[in-house]
Formats: sequence, C-alpha cells, structure tokens
Amino acid sequence: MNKSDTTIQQKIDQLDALVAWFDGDDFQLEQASKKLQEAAKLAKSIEQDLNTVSNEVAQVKRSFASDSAE
Amino acid sequence: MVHPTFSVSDFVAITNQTLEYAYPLIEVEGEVASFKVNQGKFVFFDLKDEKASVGCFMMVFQLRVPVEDGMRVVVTGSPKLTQWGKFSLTIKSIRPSGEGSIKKSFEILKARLDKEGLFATDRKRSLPTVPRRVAVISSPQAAGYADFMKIVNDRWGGLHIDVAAVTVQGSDAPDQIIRALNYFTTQEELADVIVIIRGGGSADDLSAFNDEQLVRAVAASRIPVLTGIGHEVDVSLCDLAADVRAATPSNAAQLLVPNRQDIVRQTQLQVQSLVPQVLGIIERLRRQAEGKVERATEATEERVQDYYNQLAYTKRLLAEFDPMRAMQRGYALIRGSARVGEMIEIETAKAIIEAEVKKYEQK
Repeated sequence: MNKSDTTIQQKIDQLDALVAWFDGDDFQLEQASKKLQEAAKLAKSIEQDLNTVSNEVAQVKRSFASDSAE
Repeated sequence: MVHPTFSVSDFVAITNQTLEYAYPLIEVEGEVASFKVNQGKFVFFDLKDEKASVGCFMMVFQLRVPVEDGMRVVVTGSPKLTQWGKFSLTIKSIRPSGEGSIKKSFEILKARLDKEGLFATDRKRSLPTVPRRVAVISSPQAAGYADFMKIVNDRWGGLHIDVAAVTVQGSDAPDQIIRALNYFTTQEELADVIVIIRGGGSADDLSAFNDEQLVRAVAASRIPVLTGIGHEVDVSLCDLAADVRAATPSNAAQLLVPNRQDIVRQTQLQVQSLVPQVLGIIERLRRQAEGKVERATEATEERVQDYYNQLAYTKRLLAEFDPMRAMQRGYALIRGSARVGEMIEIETAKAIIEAEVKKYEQK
C-alpha cells in the first residue's frame, strides 16, 4: 500500500481539484506558482505509487465444496 | 446347490444394497420422454435410446435447467428398485447434452428469466472507477484465472483481492459458485465488486453458468458482479444477469481497473497543460493592462486638445473686442467730455488728434 494514508484515487481526486482551480473563479495569479508546484508534486507522487504499489491477494480459507462453513 | 431365499422386502433391500455398492453414483446419457411434474414437487420422466428405456425420478428443486421431451441429457443419479418392484434412477442432477439440447434449454431459461426482468439494463449497476476491495470467484488452477490476475497486476496496484476457490465446471460448479457469492455478500467488509472468472471451454464445460439458481444468485447479488466467462462468442445467462459482462477473463481485468500507465500519462498531461494555461492568463492580464494604459493616454491627449481648442476660441473672442481692429476699419476712439467748448482727444488707427467740441446735439 501507499506510504501515506492517502490512496492513489484520493491523490488523483486532489490533482483534479487542483487543475480545476486554475479554471475556476477562485484563481489568483499570485497563488498559481504554488498551486502548480503542488500539482507537479502530486503527479510525481501518483506515478511513484502506481509504479511501486502491488496487489494483496488472499485466498478465502473456507471450502465451497459443501454447505458447511469451515 | 442351495439358493438363497428372501422375503420380497429383503429381496428389494438386498438388491438396492448391491446396486448401491456397485453403482453408488452413475451418469447416464439419453433422450427425455414422458416428462412430467407431479404436485409441483416430483419430477418423472423416461430416459431412452434406440433400444432401451429407464424410468427416472427427481425432486423439482434438483431441476436446475429447463428439460422437456426430446431433449438429450446427462443424468447423475443412483439406480434403485422401488418397493413396488419398479426399477428407476433417482436423479441427483441433470444437464442438457449435445449442442441442440444445450441451446434449447438455454433459450427456454433465457426467455423465462428475461420475462422476469433479470436481464433488464436498468437493473445494471456500474462498477467503481477504481475498486479497493475485489472478490474473485474462480478456480485458481485455471488458465483464465491466471490471465485475469496477470493483467490486473500489470494494470493496477493497491487492491485487496479475496479469491474464493471453486470448481468452474461440472454439476458441482453452480452450487459452489452460489456459496461463494453468498459468502462474499454476507461479509462484514463488503467488496466493491465480485468478479466471476472462467476461461474458454466447450458449451458443455460452460453450461454451469446457465444454471437457473446461479443466474438468480448473480442477479440478486448486493455487490455489483462482473463476469469474464469463456471466449468472446460465449454468452452465458450469468453474463446476461451480471452488472457488467466482459468478453474474456483478460477483458474482465481491463474493465475492472484502469491502466496505471494511462493514469501516469494523464496526470503528467494535466500538469503540463497548466503551464501554458498560466502563461495564457498572464498574457491576457498583460494585454488588459496595456489596453488600460492606452485608453488613459488617449483620454489625456483628448483632454489637452480640449484645452487648446478652448484657448483658441477665447483668443478669437478677445480679438473681436480689440478697439484697434475697429480703428483699422476707419473708426476712431474719442476720449474727453462731449460738451461744447471742451477739448477732446480723437484716436484713429494712424493718429491721435486733439479737437474742440463746437456743437453737441442729442440724437
């Protein structure tokens, strides 16, 4: 899993929100540089997470051959 | 030689004991004839071929696929001699056999379930864009499962995948898959999606996915179900009842999770597009500022010009009142008292003359 508690999807959502800020009414040129840096950092973090995180596979222990649960 | 002697009841019992020992469970293939259901509970029919016929008995709840006269089937059951001395097969399960019968059974059940609305598109739920918890029902030894897992792992990470190992072929498969579905839909922490995976096979191999109870269980699942069963051309009733049907196990993996490389490219493009966007905004603001300065300059110039024009007008007005201009036209300016005998001064354009008032008359 990710090093932080933030999931990849949450980071993608955050990036979407940042990108939307540039098109929104709250846009301020003075903050653009800072927001741009945040977006670049998030994109990098998403890339790192995606390239390193693996899936966790667990086989259910009970048998489904009969009705009785293990 | 002494022959054994039995009562009739003992004879029936020992015959059944012998049959049970010799053939605890057998499969018989044949054509269905005289199919009937009594009291809504008991199913009777004959199984026959060109030379012989045998009576069969089963309970309605064991009938998992539509059966009718003329259909070729494989029955699994035990031979038994009844207390009335009638030999029959007590059937545990029945499945259509041969392309024609499988297709016919499929079409009958499809029409019935379709009428009930199990395949209606408005029942279908969409899958989460990126699931976090996935429940997989498959045979981990099957090639289809391996294909599915490989592509899922290639495409995405961070998933928690629970796998229920079931048999995906044969008469036990539907019940095992139903139990796995029940297991996943009754867990405290529910999966975001259930995926049923089975690789390619013959129509007979895939017939488990046309089992009526399994199809109903798929349709009733409280968790969205994605199926990846067989090849692209194989469409089972489970596929029709599922929320999303993938053409193959590999395709199921593609529908389940996005491709991480696509996401990386997409996020990079998002960020890259921001720089020209900000530069565009700066350019727009610069143009707005330039425009304002230009308008201010023009307004100042107009104001100065107004002052010039007003000054020129005032100058022209003053010139009109200059007495010299009247004198140049022949008029004279007279100073002094206009009384007879008084001296006055007359100024013309060219001279100043002193004169005496000789006469004064009121006009």
